[in-house]
Amino acid sequence: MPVLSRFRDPLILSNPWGLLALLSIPVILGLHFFRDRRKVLRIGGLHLWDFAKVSLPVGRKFDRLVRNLPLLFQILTALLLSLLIAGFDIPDRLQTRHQTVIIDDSASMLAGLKESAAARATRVLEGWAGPRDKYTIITAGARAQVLAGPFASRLEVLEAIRNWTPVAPASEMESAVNLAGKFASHASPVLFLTDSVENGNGYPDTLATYAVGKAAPNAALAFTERFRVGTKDRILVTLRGWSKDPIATTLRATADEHALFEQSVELSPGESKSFSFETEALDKALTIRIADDALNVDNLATLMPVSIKPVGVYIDASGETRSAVEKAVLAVPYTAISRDPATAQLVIGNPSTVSRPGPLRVFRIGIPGIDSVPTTSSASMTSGTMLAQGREIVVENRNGFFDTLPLEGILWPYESSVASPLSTVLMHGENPLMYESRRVDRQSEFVINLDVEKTNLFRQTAWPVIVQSIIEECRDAIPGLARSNYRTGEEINLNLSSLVSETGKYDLLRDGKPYLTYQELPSTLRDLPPGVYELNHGDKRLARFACNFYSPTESDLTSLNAKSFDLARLQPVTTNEATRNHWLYYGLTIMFITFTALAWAYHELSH
Amino acid sequence: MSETTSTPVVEYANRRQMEAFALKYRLTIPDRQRATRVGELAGRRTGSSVEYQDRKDYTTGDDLRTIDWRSYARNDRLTVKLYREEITPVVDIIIDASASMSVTPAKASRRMDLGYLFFLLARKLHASVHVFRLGEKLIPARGPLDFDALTDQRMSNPLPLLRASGAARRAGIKILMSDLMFPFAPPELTSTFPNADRLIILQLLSRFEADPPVGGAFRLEDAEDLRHLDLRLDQRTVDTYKRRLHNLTEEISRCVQLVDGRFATVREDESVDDMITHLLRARIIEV
Repeated sequence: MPVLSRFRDPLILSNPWGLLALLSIPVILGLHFFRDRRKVLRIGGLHLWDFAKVSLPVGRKFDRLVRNLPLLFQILTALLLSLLIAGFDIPDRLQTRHQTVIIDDSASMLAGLKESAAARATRVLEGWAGPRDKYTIITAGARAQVLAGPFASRLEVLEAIRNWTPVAPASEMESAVNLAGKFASHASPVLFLTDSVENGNGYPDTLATYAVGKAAPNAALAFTERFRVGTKDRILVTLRGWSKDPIATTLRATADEHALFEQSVELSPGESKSFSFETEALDKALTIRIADDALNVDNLATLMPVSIKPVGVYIDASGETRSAVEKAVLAVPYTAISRDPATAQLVIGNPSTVSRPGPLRVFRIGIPGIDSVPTTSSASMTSGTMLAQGREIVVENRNGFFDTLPLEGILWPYESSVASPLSTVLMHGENPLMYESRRVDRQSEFVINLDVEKTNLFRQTAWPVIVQSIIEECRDAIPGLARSNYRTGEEINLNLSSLVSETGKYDLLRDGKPYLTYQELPSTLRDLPPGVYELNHGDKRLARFACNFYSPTESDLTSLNAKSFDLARLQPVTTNEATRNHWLYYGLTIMFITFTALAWAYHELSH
Repeated sequence: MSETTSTPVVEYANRRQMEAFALKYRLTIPDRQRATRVGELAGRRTGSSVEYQDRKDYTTGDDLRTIDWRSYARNDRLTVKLYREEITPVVDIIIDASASMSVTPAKASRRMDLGYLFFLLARKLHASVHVFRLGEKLIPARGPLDFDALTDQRMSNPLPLLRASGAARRAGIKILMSDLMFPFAPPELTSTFPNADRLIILQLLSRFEADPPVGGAFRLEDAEDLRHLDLRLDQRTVDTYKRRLHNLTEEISRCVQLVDGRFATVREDESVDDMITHLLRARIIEV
């Protein structure tokens, strides 16, 4: 609140109620008044008391002055304290200029042989950001985030920038621009620091793009995978090169520094090459690496040991139907036929089969008439039977995993009297062919409305796809991570809640160092930069997995370019936020401390 | 200087008590006195009075007039008679009449007690007693009870005045009653009475001067020059003052002992019995 405007610099009291502290001054005066009513005593002589005198150079007036100094200092102390509480200020400026900046947080900003684009962007910010302005820095990565601010000082911005490492596999520009719009002025574009001027082309009116990129050839690990085949681990690696000229590199796979595979590779412009090799099944991480180049984040991948969650399937069927079901089940990796429905994760049989209670989610596929007593079940499909063929079958999009179901050539006779439930998967007109019913006892049941005697479904490609999809859905429900190797930017569903009952801190380590701490068990992890992660609960390790960087858009450095922007053209937003005069604040504080000390010292001396 | 020959008849609170003490006790006199006249008091030394005290074998130098010829005739042995010395001591009682001695009524009253008691004790010796009032000048008083009616006079340091007076320089028993609350060096005090046969210093202090209380704010006013000092009596200040007072009294005591004198501190607030006890302990009076 400006209180005196006739001064060149108006005085500010940010908390005028603090002036109530001035009431302490009459209190101090009152205390002094009453304290000075001391008892007068006549004694024989003062010479034995002379040690208690204040050492004074001259006469009575000065004596009185010195005796009044404690009071003076106490009043000054109270006055200064009141001013400090009231937020007294003569601000440097009554208005603050605010700039909003978007920085490209994608991994290509790390590209550069001598200096990365991120470093160049930092230099641009350092040279441009004035010490008296405020800034909001937003990173455009997999998600838009505020890196510094809102309304951060230059020092805070530089500190945040120094600790910033762009590793996102993509730039989500839309959300970054929307977020920046909340802080920026509509009259002036938002500064966008990136490595390619084309990145800002979609927002010509909103962004002032300042590109600091530099085109460079780059080879990258486009994809790696590790999976178990029998007693061996098979590793698949795909390399890709982006350049105008062929790129030569070396592919090397190691485990604990022991070389498992090494091959020199030459990649033509835009060429991808895949490699496959096998090792003994190891319970160790494998490192896949190619030679350093302009962007190193895509030159390294870590493949953790294959994590397997086998699914036991109990099939309650007989005859040809059973063999058709069994064949489809056994085609799915890490799946076994279970002889006991109580230990199986998936039960395929008649819908009336008694379910198994238990703590874990159990899946069932119910097919009327599939059970081991065929005559009983086939009788149930005699009345109201209809037939759906191929293209007449419609896949409902509520379950995404049937989107690519090949329906061509299928003959699907079904019972028309079944009411259409809410969660349908396959439909024929208004009649459900397949639906999912979630039951309260932690069971998911996929019911297939099918006349098993008359259908050709078991001989069609769609059948193993249906079985595999449900088995994978079942596998996902088993506690633990679905895989041990992920891509950066991928959402990692932990599915650990049923394994952890106690509360406490959860520590996420990245490459063996603390990375994040959670007060509660997270259900998913996202936006993790490349690295090997461990999720621990105290001393107990809950999960261990790797995140590897695969991003063709970020690995392609050939289109990077530089284009500067006249930063003086940016019009900052001015707000009514006063810039505090820190020197005045420090001065008042030092004076307060000094006068407090003097008041105490002279109070002691006066005695 | 005037010789007081008769007891003044003035009534005051402790008069009877002092007279009773004067009957019971007597002033301790020194073994040898220069300022004496042959008088009625039997001295501690052998002298030339008629009162026979003892005899001893003759040694060279003894007065031949004291040889006991009768004894020589009886046992053929030269002995001399020893006679008790008969003396009339001279006692000068110098009473501080400055304003500081009456800062409280109790202090003024105790000064009266001491003055009257020592006057009576001196008279008991059949001494030649002179009472002086030490103010701006050293003037003879009509008697020890003369102080009650007089206005106190202000002075800063009485020692130069005393040193210049004949009363201080001449021989005899010197009794100085003062609070000694002025700046001086203790050796200076004893040297003020160079010929004293016995120097008795009685320091009279008010209750506050002897034992100031801890706590409270005070303005202390000097009774002599009215200068003042504002202070809060915290424990440290009181302790420092007491230490300085103790050092002063210790130094006075030491200096007085060097000239075979006597020194005692009397407080205004102590009982007259305690006062007598202090005087006895200091061997100023005896039974």
